[in-house]
Amino acid sequence: MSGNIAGKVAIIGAGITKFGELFEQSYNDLVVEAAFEAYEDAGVSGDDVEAAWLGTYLPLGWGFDGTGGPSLAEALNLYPKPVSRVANYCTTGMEAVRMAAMAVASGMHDVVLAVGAEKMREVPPRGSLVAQHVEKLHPMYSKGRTAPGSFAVLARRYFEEFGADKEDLAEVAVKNHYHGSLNKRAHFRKEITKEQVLKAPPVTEPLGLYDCCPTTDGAAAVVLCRAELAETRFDKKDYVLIDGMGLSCATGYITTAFNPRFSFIGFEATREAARQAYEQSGVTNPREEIDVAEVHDCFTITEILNYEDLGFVEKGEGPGFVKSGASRLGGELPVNTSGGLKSCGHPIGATGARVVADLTHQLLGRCGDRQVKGAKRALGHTLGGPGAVSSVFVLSKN
Amino acid sequence: MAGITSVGAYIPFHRLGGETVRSVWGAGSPKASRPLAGFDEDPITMGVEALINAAGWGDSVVDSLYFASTSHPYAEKSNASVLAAAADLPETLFTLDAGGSVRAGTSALKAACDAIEAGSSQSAAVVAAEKRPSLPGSPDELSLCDGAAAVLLGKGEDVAAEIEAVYSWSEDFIDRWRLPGEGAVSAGDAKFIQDYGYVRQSVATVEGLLNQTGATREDIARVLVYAPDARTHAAITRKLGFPDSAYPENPLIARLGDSGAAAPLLALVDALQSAEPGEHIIVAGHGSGGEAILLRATDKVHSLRAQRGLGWSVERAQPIRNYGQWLKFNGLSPEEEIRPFTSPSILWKENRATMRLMAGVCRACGELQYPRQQVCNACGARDEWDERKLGRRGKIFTFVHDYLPPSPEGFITMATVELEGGGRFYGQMTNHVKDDVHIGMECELTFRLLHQGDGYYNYFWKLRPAD
Repeated sequence: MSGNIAGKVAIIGAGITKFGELFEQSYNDLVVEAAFEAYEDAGVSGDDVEAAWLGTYLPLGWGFDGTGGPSLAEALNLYPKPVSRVANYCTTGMEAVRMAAMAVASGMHDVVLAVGAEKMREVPPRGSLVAQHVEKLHPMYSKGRTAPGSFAVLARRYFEEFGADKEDLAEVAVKNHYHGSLNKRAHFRKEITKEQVLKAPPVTEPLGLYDCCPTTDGAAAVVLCRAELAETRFDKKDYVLIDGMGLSCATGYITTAFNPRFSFIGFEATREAARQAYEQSGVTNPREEIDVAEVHDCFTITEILNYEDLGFVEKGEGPGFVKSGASRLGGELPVNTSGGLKSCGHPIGATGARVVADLTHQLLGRCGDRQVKGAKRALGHTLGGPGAVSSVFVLSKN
Repeated sequence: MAGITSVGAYIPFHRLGGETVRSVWGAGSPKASRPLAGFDEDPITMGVEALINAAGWGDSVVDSLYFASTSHPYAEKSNASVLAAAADLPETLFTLDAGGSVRAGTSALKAACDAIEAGSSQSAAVVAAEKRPSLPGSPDELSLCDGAAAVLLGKGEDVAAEIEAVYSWSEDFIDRWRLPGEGAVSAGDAKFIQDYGYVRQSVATVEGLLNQTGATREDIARVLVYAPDARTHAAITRKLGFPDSAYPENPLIARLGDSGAAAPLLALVDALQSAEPGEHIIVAGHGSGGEAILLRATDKVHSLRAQRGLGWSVERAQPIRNYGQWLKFNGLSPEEEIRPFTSPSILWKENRATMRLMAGVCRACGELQYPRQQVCNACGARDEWDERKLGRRGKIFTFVHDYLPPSPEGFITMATVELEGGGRFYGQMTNHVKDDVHIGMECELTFRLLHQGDGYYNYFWKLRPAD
């Protein structure tokens, strides 16, 4: 890679809606709420925004909004500016931020907006989990596949190779529900016990109900600008800088499960995206250099694999890392202080933008009970498709 | 002289037990055990299974295929062509669906034999398969049998049983019938159709063959006749007057039930797999007249014992859990409405991959990929592929029991299997016991009905535990 994003782009505003089953709000309501919160935080208006990117994964899967740039332009009256929609499985929201950051870094724009949004609960949750593969996608290869099923096969293989078990997975669920209980925007705000997790009905064995993220509505937005403008134009004393960002498509969406080189104990996409982001940001020892992280815990097993693929621990040491409390609030590297996808929720297109917005709040010390004290450097990670694509951001306080 | 060169049979593993039926309807022989097709099986999938058992996994030289059934899944559209694709038969192929009578199996056999004799076919496959229709609570529920048989025909050294003569005759007669769309077979007056139909006609069929060939009853080692039930079978054999030793001790009609058009071929396959060289065998089909076929086992007949026949299937019989499962298998209990996406143009474009299981081997780097892309996912070479058929067997690398997708079983087990010969297959398991599934378990590919998105049948391969 010849370029480096480090130091070029500042995040000066962040907005996140309440996550949950938001039957009273429309897709546009969520987009407006997130964007205007980010505007206010940044001290800008829509007039300042030169271009915008919208991340929505599957517009026609459960609603009708978000099919293209005009969905965002219309909701925010950004006419006639350049607005585009991006989609990249569960990295979608992060991809909107990455595109926006690239536009700033290229010198094409000074101030841009990135929004991630997904309104999933206009249909029953089953519609999003199952229908995607049955009612859509390949007539043969996809039938019988579901999102949790596609990760359960990794759990099964991981158990086989490292002797881990469902109790190890439960540690992740308990931790993230605890974190979610402290986050007023989280979908689930109740703590759960290990016994509850282990007794929950099976969804895709060995994953049970509490090993899975919920089906959630939500939106998040960030306002980005050329780094020097944060202070000179917007009078910011505290803001966040993008130190590195990587994206990797390392396997195929359908073919991963057929691929003889896929290990089923981790994700090459995560390792490669992290390598890119670490190289740009100069991170060599993530466990020591990262103060707080939001990683993709669509299912509990995924968070354990992420610890290893992101280089927090060696392969096979993920269960020990969560069990030791290292990734819990107060531990050496708190992970998913928002509650993660598991407890905060996972509106697919919103998640990546929410991760960046949430880490912005952490780095600026705004997280109250769940604040990681003195956090200077943060890592954000999303993974999608299932495991075919990953995005990693490294952020720091100015 | 034309003759049989290979055989195969398949009986679905599921059994509906008499006790299960009694517990619901209060009637039904407690000893009965009816083989029934699973929810993902039909005459096409069972026919594929029998055909692969006879013709092997790929590299077949069959040039004509006859598919006999009274329960063809498609009333309009070739059924045989699905068998041909799934069994990976050459594309230069004559296909024919034969139906309309439970006699269709022997009629197809005669037609194939004539084609071989005439020289228009060098290698013919005859497949007969049935999913027999019956209504809940009816006696047919326990007396019918689902299953399939296949025989390959050719000439020359490989012939294991020569077809010496065929006798056919026709007489319009109403014994059992079914109109389009009806879910059960109707029958005429029981006494009349037994005496004047099954017994009189079967005797006329077999005696017609004896008269035509000059053979005597003492020349014949085995006589296999069709009957709708064991009692009628006994009445026919009594009247036919062969020595008792010529009749199977425990005929298929008593062991398994009435498998319609598949019955004569199933009986023939079973007999040939235990026949000795030199034995003469008569197999007769029945229906508005009949066919009788005289075969003589050659010194190659023992070679047929290596094929998967009835024994292989029957050893794997498993009673279904309850009557509800039987209703689910037959679509008689409403399921969650969900319409799977499919597309005729996709099925056509990808036919070699999805039906014939052709993977790509990259000429530039040797990588085997399934399903393959145009550009090699290992080295980036474009369109540098050699086709290679996936192996049939492999070991489970990882798996999941998934309770989310709709399924008559309440869950779907998906597994990734490392195949012998390279590559992986990822798909649904079938005929498995949930708690027995484990990493390293041996599986083999089996052709099944995946779904009916868009209204037509979408067939694909599933994974079945193997020994």
